[in-house]
Amino acid sequence: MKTQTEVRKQYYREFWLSMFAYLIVTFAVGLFVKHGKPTGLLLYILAPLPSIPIAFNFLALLRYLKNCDEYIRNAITRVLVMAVGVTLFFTTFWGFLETFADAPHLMSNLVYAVFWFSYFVIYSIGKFVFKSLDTDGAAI
Amino acid sequence: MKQILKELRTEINLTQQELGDKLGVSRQAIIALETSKHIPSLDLAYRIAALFSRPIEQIWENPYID
Repeated sequence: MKTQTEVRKQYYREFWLSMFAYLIVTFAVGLFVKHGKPTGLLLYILAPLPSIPIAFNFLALLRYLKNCDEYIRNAITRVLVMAVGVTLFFTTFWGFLETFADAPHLMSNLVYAVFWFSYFVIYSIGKFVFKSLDTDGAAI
Repeated sequence: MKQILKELRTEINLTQQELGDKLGVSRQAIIALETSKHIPSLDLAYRIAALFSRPIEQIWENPYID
């Protein structure tokens, strides 16, 4: 049986590996699209490639939730649900601003960043203001 | 829910981390259990009871019995 320290270390490894892959793939696709000028099907295949490491990033989180202990799972799940709520509210709020008030368009690929930012803020409030949610920083 | 987990742990000279490792949970979980911030699942309660060779109700007071 893995200790919780090992489970957490595995999650951190997978989290940062997927983030690193995201940066590399985004940079490579950006460079290729700028200089290679791909068109048609090739462009449609290349353009969404940076989203694949994001899927692995979320899979790492799901694996962590499966393997971590019940206390950590409970704490992280509460924060995740709140972060999803904040993200959905923010994107809906901004979407209506775009629709009815001609607000500047926000790229939808920012949603994941908004989600993690919400997670970080909610986690910090829980930990430092309400002195709960002590997960030793896991899932951040 | 009242419990005597900390007393049981210190009786056998275990740190929170050591107890967590024996039970397969984090140190944070042990802290939350000892301060009654977390009520364990039946599975974890049975694991703790087995480790200390005591019935669950000797570790966690049953609040529904007068």
